[in-house]
Amino acid sequence: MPHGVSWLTFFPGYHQLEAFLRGHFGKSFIGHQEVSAQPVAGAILVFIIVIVLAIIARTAMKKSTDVLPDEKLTPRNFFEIILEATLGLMKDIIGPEAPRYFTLIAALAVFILFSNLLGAIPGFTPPTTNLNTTVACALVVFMTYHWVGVRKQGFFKYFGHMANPVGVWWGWILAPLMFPIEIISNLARPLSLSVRLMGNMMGDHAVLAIFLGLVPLFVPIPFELLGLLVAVIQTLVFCLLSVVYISLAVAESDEHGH
Amino acid sequence: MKMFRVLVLAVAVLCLGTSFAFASDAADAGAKSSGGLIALGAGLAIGIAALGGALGQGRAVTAALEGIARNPGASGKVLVPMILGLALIESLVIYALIIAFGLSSKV
Repeated sequence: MPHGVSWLTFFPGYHQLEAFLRGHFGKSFIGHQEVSAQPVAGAILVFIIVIVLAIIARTAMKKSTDVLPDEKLTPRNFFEIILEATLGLMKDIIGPEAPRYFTLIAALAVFILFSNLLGAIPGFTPPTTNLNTTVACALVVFMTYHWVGVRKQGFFKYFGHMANPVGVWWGWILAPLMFPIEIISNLARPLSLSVRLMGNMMGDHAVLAIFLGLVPLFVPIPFELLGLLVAVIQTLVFCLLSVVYISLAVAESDEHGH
Repeated sequence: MKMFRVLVLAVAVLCLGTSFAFASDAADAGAKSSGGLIALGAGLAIGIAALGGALGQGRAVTAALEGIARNPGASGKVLVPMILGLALIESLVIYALIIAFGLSSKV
């Protein structure tokens, strides 16, 4: 498929969406290109898929509260696997307060997983190949963990921990050095989250497109498999890092013992 | 051996110097004279990043495999941190790839 065109272009309402976005936003910030509605349409498709599967899973759960899982791969099984793994991960890292932040991390995990897997179908571009989608996810995590930290420890104590991580009285002498370093590392976190996800997805998709252009017959199969593997791994890395950032923001008061 | 290395370095510097001279003589219609160096920068960016990334990932996998070889029952517990470490090392290579894409679009 030519660049910028995918099966999403043939969905009803795509051109109206693109006209709306171009009218509102003008040229893009990086690269001064015309805004494309591909990532937005892709994200909307992922939303629709996830909501439909979630409704199916929920009705199955309401009908029978068996403890035994189903035999084949049903939506209920699939979501149970993903969500149990996510909750186990969060309980390992955050501790007993994990279920409080579970909704956000699970939503991110499911959205990013389905967005990445959308690229496995030839002709679709994953919405996460666009920096806008990944920056949106990363900014949500960034604001969440700061908000959670401030809510748990209070405004001055939280930023006091950023200036004086050790907590000793002479730590305040080093605060003018530590505080900018902490600010820079905190700003680097959403940047790295978003660019890592976008770069991995775009790189895989570009490699796959090049190989499909060169030898369409059997050679791209290892790259498709690699793409699937990278899709799952990048979801895991994104969610694990988000959980680690939340745990760092939340657990500061317990760890240092003051 | 040291003399050999000095010779190799001198030859490399000479090659780059001649490319400088040729670049300043370029009088193509519409071609920027710095296009060649930008393309060279893009290639070197991803090349050196891939080199460093591959070395780092090799060390990570080495340590993980040694751990699994000592204790095959721990392979499940070693696998997840290994994959995580590989993804984090790879993310640095991806940053350099982004720079290479940005540079190659300016050629």
